[in-house]
Amino acid sequence: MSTRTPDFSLPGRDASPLRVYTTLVGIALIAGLAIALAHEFTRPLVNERRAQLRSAAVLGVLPGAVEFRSYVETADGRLQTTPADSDSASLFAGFAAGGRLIGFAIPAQGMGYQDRIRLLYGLDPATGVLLGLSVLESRETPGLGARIVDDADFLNLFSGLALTFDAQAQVLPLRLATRPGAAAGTIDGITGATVSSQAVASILSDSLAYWLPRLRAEPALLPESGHG
Amino acid sequence: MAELLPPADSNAPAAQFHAGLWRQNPILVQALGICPTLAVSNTAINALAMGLATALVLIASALVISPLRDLIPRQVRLASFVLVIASFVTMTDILVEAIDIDLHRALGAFLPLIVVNCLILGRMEAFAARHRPRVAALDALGMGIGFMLTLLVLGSVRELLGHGALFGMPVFGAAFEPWVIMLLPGGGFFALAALVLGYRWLALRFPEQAAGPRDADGAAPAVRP
Repeated sequence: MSTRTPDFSLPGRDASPLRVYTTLVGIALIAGLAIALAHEFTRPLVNERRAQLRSAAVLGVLPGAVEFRSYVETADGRLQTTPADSDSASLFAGFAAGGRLIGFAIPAQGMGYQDRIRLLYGLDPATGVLLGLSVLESRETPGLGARIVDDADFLNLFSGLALTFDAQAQVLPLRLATRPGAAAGTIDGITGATVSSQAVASILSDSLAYWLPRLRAEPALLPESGHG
Repeated sequence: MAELLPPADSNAPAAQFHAGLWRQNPILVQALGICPTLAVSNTAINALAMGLATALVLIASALVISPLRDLIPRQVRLASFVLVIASFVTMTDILVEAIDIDLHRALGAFLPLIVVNCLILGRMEAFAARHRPRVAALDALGMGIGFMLTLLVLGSVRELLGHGALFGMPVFGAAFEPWVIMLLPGGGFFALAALVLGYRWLALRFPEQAAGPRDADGAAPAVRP
Protein backbone atom coordinates (compact mmCIF):
# COMPACT_ATOMS: atom_id res chain seq x y z
CA MET A 1 0.00 0.00 0.00
CA SER A 2 1.18 3.45 -0.80
CA THR A 3 2.08 5.62 2.13
CA ARG A 4 2.26 8.80 0.11
CA THR A 5 -0.25 11.50 0.77
CA PRO A 6 -1.81 12.98 -2.33
CA ASP A 7 -0.74 16.46 -3.30
CA PHE A 8 -3.90 18.53 -3.19
CA SER A 9 -2.19 21.83 -3.93
CA LEU A 10 -3.98 23.47 -6.80
CA PRO A 11 -2.17 24.07 -10.04
CA GLY A 12 -2.39 27.50 -11.64
CA ARG A 13 -2.41 30.77 -9.79
CA ASP A 14 -4.87 33.16 -8.21
CA ALA A 15 -6.05 35.91 -10.50
CA SER A 16 -8.11 39.07 -10.38
CA PRO A 17 -11.89 38.83 -10.82
CA LEU A 18 -11.53 40.48 -14.21
CA ARG A 19 -9.11 37.76 -15.34
CA VAL A 20 -11.48 35.11 -14.04
CA TYR A 21 -14.34 36.70 -15.94
CA THR A 22 -12.49 37.15 -19.22
CA THR A 23 -11.14 33.60 -19.08
CA LEU A 24 -14.58 32.04 -18.68
CA VAL A 25 -16.21 34.30 -21.25
CA GLY A 26 -13.36 33.69 -23.69
CA ILE A 27 -13.56 29.92 -23.38
CA ALA A 28 -17.35 29.98 -23.65
CA LEU A 29 -17.24 32.17 -26.77
CA ILE A 30 -14.75 29.95 -28.56
CA ALA A 31 -16.66 26.83 -27.49
CA GLY A 32 -19.96 28.26 -28.69
CA LEU A 33 -18.49 29.19 -32.03
CA ALA A 34 -16.95 25.75 -32.51
CA ILE A 35 -20.21 23.99 -31.66
CA ALA A 36 -22.26 26.24 -33.95
CA LEU A 37 -19.86 25.53 -36.81
CA ALA A 38 -20.00 21.77 -36.23
CA HIS A 39 -23.79 21.96 -36.15
CA GLU A 40 -23.98 24.01 -39.35
CA PHE A 41 -21.69 21.71 -41.29
CA THR A 42 -23.39 18.46 -40.31
CA ARG A 43 -27.04 19.62 -40.40
CA PRO A 44 -27.75 19.06 -44.11
CA LEU A 45 -26.37 15.53 -43.86
CA VAL A 46 -28.44 14.71 -40.76
CA ASN A 47 -31.64 16.19 -42.22
CA GLU A 48 -31.19 14.25 -45.43
CA ARG A 49 -30.66 10.99 -43.52
CA ARG A 50 -33.69 11.68 -41.32
CA ALA A 51 -35.84 12.32 -44.38
CA GLN A 52 -34.66 9.02 -45.88
CA LEU A 53 -35.54 7.15 -42.70
CA ARG A 54 -38.95 8.84 -42.50
CA SER A 55 -39.72 8.09 -46.11
CA ALA A 56 -38.73 4.43 -45.68
CA ALA A 57 -40.88 4.15 -42.55
CA VAL A 58 -43.95 5.78 -44.12
CA LEU A 59 -43.82 3.72 -47.31
CA GLY A 60 -43.07 0.64 -45.19
CA VAL A 61 -46.43 0.73 -43.38
CA LEU A 62 -48.38 1.59 -46.54
CA PRO A 63 -47.83 -1.36 -48.89
CA GLY A 64 -48.29 -0.27 -52.49
CA ALA A 65 -47.61 3.41 -51.85
CA VAL A 66 -44.82 4.98 -53.85
CA GLU A 67 -45.09 8.58 -52.68
CA PHE A 68 -46.58 10.45 -49.79
CA ARG A 69 -47.61 13.89 -48.62
CA SER A 70 -47.09 15.22 -45.10
CA TYR A 71 -49.89 16.89 -43.16
CA VAL A 72 -49.76 18.84 -39.93
CA GLU A 73 -52.73 19.35 -37.65
CA THR A 74 -53.49 23.00 -37.01
CA ALA A 75 -54.72 24.40 -33.69
CA ASP A 76 -58.35 24.29 -34.88
CA GLY A 77 -58.09 20.62 -35.80
CA ARG A 78 -57.74 21.00 -39.56
CA LEU A 79 -55.08 19.31 -41.62
CA GLN A 80 -52.67 21.33 -43.68
CA THR A 81 -50.03 20.12 -46.06
CA THR A 82 -46.52 20.68 -44.81
CA PRO A 83 -43.19 20.41 -46.60
CA ALA A 84 -41.88 16.87 -46.85
CA ASP A 85 -38.78 17.74 -44.82
CA SER A 86 -40.82 18.96 -41.88
CA ASP A 87 -40.24 17.14 -38.59
CA SER A 88 -43.63 18.07 -37.17
CA ALA A 89 -45.96 16.13 -39.46
CA SER A 90 -49.07 14.73 -37.75
CA LEU A 91 -49.74 12.20 -40.45
CA PHE A 92 -48.78 11.19 -43.95
CA ALA A 93 -51.04 10.30 -46.88
CA GLY A 94 -49.60 7.62 -49.15
CA PHE A 95 -50.43 7.30 -52.82
CA ALA A 96 -50.05 4.51 -55.34
CA ALA A 97 -48.32 5.10 -58.66
CA GLY A 98 -51.50 6.36 -60.33
CA GLY A 99 -52.20 8.91 -57.59
CA ARG A 100 -54.78 6.71 -55.86
CA LEU A 101 -54.91 7.19 -52.08
CA ILE A 102 -53.67 4.03 -50.34
CA GLY A 103 -54.13 5.18 -46.77
CA PHE A 104 -52.57 7.17 -44.00
CA ALA A 105 -49.37 6.59 -42.05
CA ILE A 106 -49.90 7.93 -38.53
CA PRO A 107 -47.26 8.40 -35.83
CA ALA A 108 -48.36 7.52 -32.30
CA GLN A 109 -46.63 7.24 -28.98
CA GLY A 110 -47.18 6.20 -25.39
CA MET A 111 -45.57 4.54 -22.41
CA GLY A 112 -44.11 1.08 -22.70
CA TYR A 113 -42.59 -1.03 -19.95
CA GLN A 114 -39.55 1.21 -19.39
CA ASP A 115 -39.87 4.26 -21.56
CA ARG A 116 -41.82 5.90 -24.35
CA ILE A 117 -42.61 3.77 -27.40
CA ARG A 118 -42.99 5.55 -30.74
CA LEU A 119 -44.94 3.81 -33.48
CA LEU A 120 -45.92 4.47 -37.05
CA TYR A 121 -48.93 2.60 -38.40
CA GLY A 122 -50.74 2.49 -41.70
CA LEU A 123 -54.52 2.88 -41.80
CA ASP A 124 -57.15 2.75 -44.51
CA PRO A 125 -59.96 4.80 -42.91
CA ALA A 126 -62.54 3.90 -45.55
CA THR A 127 -62.39 0.15 -44.90
CA GLY A 128 -61.19 0.34 -41.30
CA VAL A 129 -58.22 -1.91 -41.92
CA LEU A 130 -54.72 -1.53 -40.50
CA LEU A 131 -52.11 -1.70 -43.25
CA GLY A 132 -48.90 -2.11 -41.30
CA LEU A 133 -47.00 -1.26 -38.13
CA SER A 134 -43.47 -0.22 -37.44
CA VAL A 135 -41.89 0.54 -34.04
CA LEU A 136 -39.74 3.63 -34.52
CA GLU A 137 -38.32 3.95 -31.05
CA SER A 138 -38.43 1.88 -27.89
CA ARG A 139 -36.25 1.05 -24.93
CA GLU A 140 -37.98 -2.13 -23.86
CA THR A 141 -36.15 -4.98 -22.12
CA PRO A 142 -33.57 -6.52 -24.47
CA GLY A 143 -34.54 -10.05 -25.48
CA LEU A 144 -38.07 -9.68 -24.08
CA GLY A 145 -40.10 -6.54 -24.74
CA ALA A 146 -37.61 -5.30 -27.32
CA ARG A 147 -38.89 -8.00 -29.66
CA ILE A 148 -41.86 -5.76 -30.51
CA VAL A 149 -39.38 -3.96 -32.78
CA ASP A 150 -38.35 -6.90 -34.95
CA ASP A 151 -40.60 -9.88 -34.23
CA ALA A 152 -42.03 -10.43 -37.71
CA ASP A 153 -44.88 -12.65 -36.45
CA PHE A 154 -46.01 -9.90 -34.10
CA LEU A 155 -45.68 -7.02 -36.58
CA ASN A 156 -47.39 -8.98 -39.37
CA LEU A 157 -50.49 -9.27 -37.20
CA PHE A 158 -51.12 -5.61 -37.92
CA SER A 159 -50.93 -5.93 -41.70
CA GLY A 160 -54.49 -6.25 -42.88
CA LEU A 161 -55.98 -6.38 -39.39
CA ALA A 162 -59.67 -5.47 -39.62
CA LEU A 163 -60.74 -3.15 -36.82
CA THR A 164 -63.97 -3.82 -34.94
CA PHE A 165 -66.65 -1.24 -34.26
CA ASP A 166 -69.49 -0.94 -31.78
CA ALA A 167 -73.13 -0.16 -32.59
CA GLN A 168 -72.38 3.59 -32.81
CA ALA A 169 -69.60 2.87 -35.32
CA GLN A 170 -67.00 3.82 -32.72
CA VAL A 171 -63.78 1.88 -33.10
CA LEU A 172 -63.24 -0.68 -30.34
CA PRO A 173 -59.87 -0.88 -28.60
CA LEU A 174 -57.50 -3.59 -29.76
CA ARG A 175 -57.27 -6.35 -27.21
CA LEU A 176 -54.54 -8.88 -26.58
CA ALA A 177 -55.74 -12.41 -27.15
CA THR A 178 -55.40 -14.59 -24.08
CA ARG A 179 -55.02 -17.59 -26.32
CA PRO A 180 -53.91 -17.93 -29.94
CA GLY A 181 -56.33 -17.80 -32.80
CA ALA A 182 -58.87 -15.51 -31.16
CA ALA A 183 -61.62 -13.34 -32.53
CA ALA A 184 -61.44 -10.26 -34.76
CA GLY A 185 -60.01 -7.13 -33.19
CA THR A 186 -57.65 -9.09 -30.98
CA ILE A 187 -53.95 -9.63 -31.46
CA ASP A 188 -51.61 -12.27 -30.11
CA GLY A 189 -49.03 -10.78 -27.81
CA ILE A 190 -45.41 -11.93 -27.70
CA THR A 191 -44.71 -14.51 -25.01
CA GLY A 192 -42.53 -12.86 -22.38
CA ALA A 193 -43.40 -9.42 -23.65
CA THR A 194 -46.98 -9.07 -22.49
CA VAL A 195 -46.54 -5.56 -21.11
CA SER A 196 -44.85 -4.28 -24.24
CA SER A 197 -47.35 -5.97 -26.56
CA GLN A 198 -50.19 -4.54 -24.47
CA ALA A 199 -48.57 -1.10 -24.65
CA VAL A 200 -48.45 -1.28 -28.45
CA ALA A 201 -52.13 -2.29 -28.52
CA SER A 202 -53.23 0.56 -26.28
CA ILE A 203 -51.10 3.18 -28.03
CA LEU A 204 -52.71 2.06 -31.29
CA SER A 205 -56.20 2.06 -29.79
CA ASP A 206 -55.83 5.59 -28.39
CA SER A 207 -54.49 6.94 -31.66
CA LEU A 208 -57.19 5.18 -33.70
CA ALA A 209 -59.95 6.52 -31.45
CA TYR A 210 -58.64 10.00 -32.16
CA TRP A 211 -57.86 9.82 -35.86
CA LEU A 212 -60.33 7.37 -37.37
CA PRO A 213 -63.49 9.46 -36.71
CA ARG A 214 -61.72 12.56 -38.03
CA LEU A 215 -60.50 10.96 -41.19
CA ARG A 216 -63.93 9.40 -41.80
CA ALA A 217 -66.07 12.39 -40.87
CA GLU A 218 -64.44 14.85 -43.18
CA PRO A 219 -63.75 13.57 -46.64
CA ALA A 220 -62.62 17.12 -47.30
CA LEU A 221 -59.55 16.25 -45.30
CA LEU A 222 -58.70 13.62 -47.80
CA PRO A 223 -56.48 14.96 -50.53
CA GLU A 224 -58.09 15.62 -53.86
CA SER A 225 -58.06 12.55 -56.03
CA GLY A 226 -56.30 14.33 -58.83
CA HIS A 227 -53.00 14.25 -57.03
CA GLY A 228 -49.92 13.77 -59.14
CA MET B 1 -6.33 7.99 -4.31
CA ALA B 2 -3.51 6.51 -6.32
CA GLU B 3 -5.23 7.42 -9.55
CA LEU B 4 -5.04 11.12 -8.75
CA LEU B 5 -1.30 11.01 -8.44
CA PRO B 6 0.86 11.27 -11.50
CA PRO B 7 3.06 8.19 -11.61
CA ALA B 8 6.61 8.63 -10.45
CA ASP B 9 7.93 7.89 -13.90
CA SER B 10 5.80 10.54 -15.54
CA ASN B 11 8.91 11.95 -17.19
CA ALA B 12 9.03 8.87 -19.36
CA PRO B 13 6.28 9.51 -21.91
CA ALA B 14 6.13 5.92 -23.08
CA ALA B 15 5.47 4.70 -19.55
CA GLN B 16 2.68 7.25 -19.31
CA PHE B 17 1.11 5.83 -22.41
CA HIS B 18 1.29 2.27 -21.10
CA ALA B 19 -0.13 3.20 -17.70
CA GLY B 20 -3.64 3.72 -19.04
CA LEU B 21 -3.52 0.56 -21.10
CA TRP B 22 -2.76 -1.82 -18.28
CA ARG B 23 -1.23 -0.76 -14.96
CA GLN B 24 -3.71 2.06 -14.29
CA ASN B 25 -6.49 0.96 -16.63
CA PRO B 26 -9.35 3.44 -16.14
CA ILE B 27 -12.05 0.80 -15.74
CA LEU B 28 -10.26 -2.23 -14.30
CA VAL B 29 -8.03 -0.39 -11.81
CA GLN B 30 -9.34 3.13 -11.31
CA ALA B 31 -13.00 2.08 -11.66
CA LEU B 32 -13.79 5.38 -13.39
CA GLY B 33 -16.59 5.83 -15.90
CA ILE B 34 -18.44 2.73 -14.73
CA CYS B 35 -21.86 4.16 -15.58
CA PRO B 36 -21.40 4.34 -19.38
CA THR B 37 -19.32 1.18 -19.16
CA LEU B 38 -22.24 -0.84 -17.85
CA ALA B 39 -24.94 0.98 -19.78
CA VAL B 40 -23.72 0.83 -23.37
CA SER B 41 -21.54 -2.29 -23.38
CA ASN B 42 -24.44 -4.53 -24.43
CA THR B 43 -23.13 -4.89 -27.97
CA ALA B 44 -19.63 -4.69 -29.38
CA ILE B 45 -20.45 -1.87 -31.78
CA ASN B 46 -22.06 0.28 -29.05
CA ALA B 47 -19.09 -0.33 -26.76
CA LEU B 48 -16.60 0.49 -29.48
CA ALA B 49 -18.42 3.70 -30.45
CA MET B 50 -18.75 4.81 -26.83
CA GLY B 51 -15.07 4.03 -26.17
CA LEU B 52 -13.99 5.90 -29.30
CA ALA B 53 -16.11 8.94 -28.47
CA THR B 54 -14.78 9.04 -24.90
CA ALA B 55 -11.18 8.64 -26.05
CA LEU B 56 -11.65 11.41 -28.61
CA VAL B 57 -13.03 13.82 -26.00
CA LEU B 58 -10.28 12.86 -23.56
CA ILE B 59 -7.46 13.47 -26.03
CA ALA B 60 -8.92 16.68 -27.47
CA SER B 61 -9.55 18.11 -23.99
CA ALA B 62 -6.03 17.24 -22.85
CA LEU B 63 -4.58 18.93 -25.94
CA VAL B 64 -6.49 22.13 -25.17
CA ILE B 65 -6.16 22.20 -21.40
CA SER B 66 -2.49 21.32 -21.08
CA PRO B 67 -1.20 24.31 -23.12
CA LEU B 68 -3.62 26.62 -21.29
CA ARG B 69 -2.74 25.32 -17.83
CA ASP B 70 -0.79 28.43 -16.84
CA LEU B 71 -3.31 30.86 -18.31
CA ILE B 72 -6.38 29.57 -16.49
CA PRO B 73 -6.87 31.20 -13.09
CA ARG B 74 -7.08 28.52 -10.45
CA GLN B 75 -10.36 29.75 -8.99
CA VAL B 76 -12.17 28.77 -12.19
CA ARG B 77 -9.93 25.85 -13.08
CA LEU B 78 -12.62 23.16 -12.86
CA ALA B 79 -15.27 25.37 -14.47
CA SER B 80 -12.95 26.00 -17.42
CA PHE B 81 -12.16 22.29 -17.75
CA VAL B 82 -15.86 21.41 -17.75
CA LEU B 83 -16.54 24.05 -20.41
CA VAL B 84 -13.83 22.63 -22.66
CA ILE B 85 -14.95 19.03 -22.07
CA ALA B 86 -18.63 19.89 -22.63
CA SER B 87 -17.80 21.59 -25.93
CA PHE B 88 -15.94 18.56 -27.22
CA VAL B 89 -18.72 16.24 -26.04
CA THR B 90 -21.34 18.31 -27.86
CA MET B 91 -19.29 18.34 -31.03
CA THR B 92 -18.75 14.58 -30.76
CA ASP B 93 -22.49 14.11 -30.30
CA ILE B 94 -23.20 16.18 -33.42
CA LEU B 95 -20.53 14.30 -35.34
CA VAL B 96 -21.82 10.84 -34.39
CA GLU B 97 -25.34 11.83 -35.45
CA ALA B 98 -23.99 12.92 -38.83
CA ILE B 99 -21.97 9.72 -39.25
CA ASP B 100 -24.57 7.15 -38.18
CA ILE B 101 -28.01 8.18 -37.00
CA ASP B 102 -28.91 4.66 -35.82
CA LEU B 103 -25.77 4.43 -33.71
CA HIS B 104 -26.57 7.87 -32.30
CA ARG B 105 -30.01 6.58 -31.32
CA ALA B 106 -28.58 3.41 -29.77
CA LEU B 107 -26.17 5.38 -27.58
CA GLY B 108 -28.99 7.74 -26.63
CA ALA B 109 -28.40 9.85 -23.55
CA PHE B 110 -25.03 8.28 -22.81
CA LEU B 111 -23.22 10.23 -25.50
CA PRO B 112 -23.99 13.68 -24.00
CA LEU B 113 -23.34 12.15 -20.58
CA ILE B 114 -19.66 11.68 -21.45
CA VAL B 115 -19.42 15.20 -20.07
CA VAL B 116 -19.85 13.87 -16.54
CA ASN B 117 -17.59 10.86 -17.04
CA CYS B 118 -15.26 11.32 -14.08
CA LEU B 119 -12.45 9.71 -16.05
CA ILE B 120 -12.13 12.81 -18.22
CA LEU B 121 -12.34 15.53 -15.56
CA GLY B 122 -10.12 13.34 -13.37
CA ARG B 123 -7.35 13.10 -15.97
CA MET B 124 -7.60 16.84 -16.72
CA GLU B 125 -7.28 17.84 -13.08
CA ALA B 126 -4.77 15.17 -12.07
CA PHE B 127 -2.62 15.15 -15.16
CA ALA B 128 -3.23 17.48 -18.10
CA ALA B 129 -3.33 20.56 -15.86
CA ARG B 130 0.09 19.66 -14.44
CA HIS B 131 2.04 18.40 -17.46
CA ARG B 132 3.41 19.48 -20.80
CA PRO B 133 1.07 18.92 -23.78
CA ARG B 134 3.14 16.06 -25.21
CA VAL B 135 3.05 14.03 -22.01
CA ALA B 136 -0.57 14.98 -21.35
CA ALA B 137 -1.55 13.83 -24.83
CA LEU B 138 0.21 10.50 -24.35
CA ASP B 139 -1.52 10.04 -21.01
CA ALA B 140 -4.91 10.82 -22.60
CA LEU B 141 -4.14 8.50 -25.51
CA GLY B 142 -3.20 5.64 -23.17
CA MET B 143 -6.20 6.17 -20.91
CA GLY B 144 -8.53 6.59 -23.90
CA ILE B 145 -7.34 3.44 -25.63
CA GLY B 146 -7.37 1.54 -22.33
CA PHE B 147 -10.95 2.63 -21.73
CA MET B 148 -11.99 1.78 -25.28
CA LEU B 149 -10.37 -1.66 -25.34
CA THR B 150 -11.84 -2.64 -21.98
CA LEU B 151 -15.27 -1.49 -23.13
CA LEU B 152 -14.84 -3.43 -26.38
CA VAL B 153 -13.97 -6.64 -24.52
CA LEU B 154 -17.02 -6.18 -22.28
CA GLY B 155 -19.27 -5.42 -25.22
CA SER B 156 -17.99 -8.39 -27.23
CA VAL B 157 -18.52 -10.82 -24.33
CA ARG B 158 -22.02 -9.51 -23.66
CA GLU B 159 -23.04 -9.56 -27.31
CA LEU B 160 -21.59 -13.04 -27.81
CA LEU B 161 -23.50 -14.48 -24.88
CA GLY B 162 -26.61 -12.29 -25.13
CA HIS B 163 -27.14 -12.36 -28.89
CA GLY B 164 -24.85 -15.21 -29.97
CA ALA B 165 -23.31 -12.67 -32.34
CA LEU B 166 -20.34 -10.36 -32.68
CA PHE B 167 -20.68 -6.96 -34.39
CA GLY B 168 -24.11 -8.16 -35.54
CA MET B 169 -22.70 -11.29 -37.23
CA PRO B 170 -24.14 -14.56 -35.88
CA VAL B 171 -21.39 -16.70 -34.38
CA PHE B 172 -22.98 -19.65 -32.63
CA GLY B 173 -25.69 -20.52 -35.14
CA ALA B 174 -29.42 -20.91 -34.69
CA ALA B 175 -29.21 -23.63 -32.02
CA PHE B 176 -27.71 -21.19 -29.53
CA GLU B 177 -30.11 -20.01 -26.83
CA PRO B 178 -29.14 -16.39 -26.01
CA TRP B 179 -28.40 -15.50 -22.39
CA VAL B 180 -30.78 -12.57 -22.18
CA ILE B 181 -29.40 -11.68 -18.73
CA MET B 182 -26.12 -10.60 -20.35
CA LEU B 183 -27.92 -7.79 -22.19
CA LEU B 184 -29.62 -6.54 -19.02
CA PRO B 185 -27.86 -4.29 -16.49
CA GLY B 186 -27.20 -7.28 -14.24
CA GLY B 187 -25.26 -8.99 -17.00
CA GLY B 188 -23.10 -5.90 -17.30
CA PHE B 189 -22.10 -6.23 -13.65
CA PHE B 190 -21.39 -9.96 -14.07
CA ALA B 191 -19.23 -9.37 -17.13
CA LEU B 192 -17.35 -6.50 -15.48
CA ALA B 193 -16.79 -8.57 -12.33
CA ALA B 194 -15.43 -11.46 -14.38
CA LEU B 195 -13.16 -9.09 -16.28
CA VAL B 196 -11.78 -7.50 -13.08
CA LEU B 197 -11.31 -10.97 -11.61
CA GLY B 198 -9.34 -12.03 -14.68
CA TYR B 199 -7.31 -8.83 -14.54
CA ARG B 200 -6.39 -9.30 -10.87
CA TRP B 201 -5.48 -12.92 -11.50
CA LEU B 202 -3.14 -11.89 -14.31
CA ALA B 203 -1.74 -9.05 -12.19
CA LEU B 204 -0.92 -11.48 -9.38
CA ARG B 205 0.40 -14.09 -11.75
CA PHE B 206 2.69 -11.70 -13.59
CA PRO B 207 3.46 -9.02 -11.02
CA GLU B 208 6.28 -7.46 -13.04
CA GLN B 209 3.81 -6.47 -15.74
CA ALA B 210 0.95 -5.38 -13.58
CA ALA B 211 2.97 -3.43 -11.03
CA GLY B 212 5.20 -0.78 -12.45
CA PRO B 213 8.37 0.39 -10.75
CA ARG B 214 6.36 2.88 -8.75
CA ASP B 215 4.17 0.28 -7.12
CA ALA B 216 6.93 -2.20 -6.44
CA ASP B 217 8.16 -0.46 -3.32
CA GLY B 218 4.96 1.42 -2.71
CA ALA B 219 6.76 4.55 -1.62
CA ALA B 220 8.21 6.15 -4.70
CA PRO B 221 7.95 9.93 -4.37
CA ALA B 222 5.66 11.70 -6.74
CA VAL B 223 7.54 13.81 -9.25
CA ARG B 224 6.11 17.20 -9.96
CA PRO B 225 6.93 19.17 -13.05
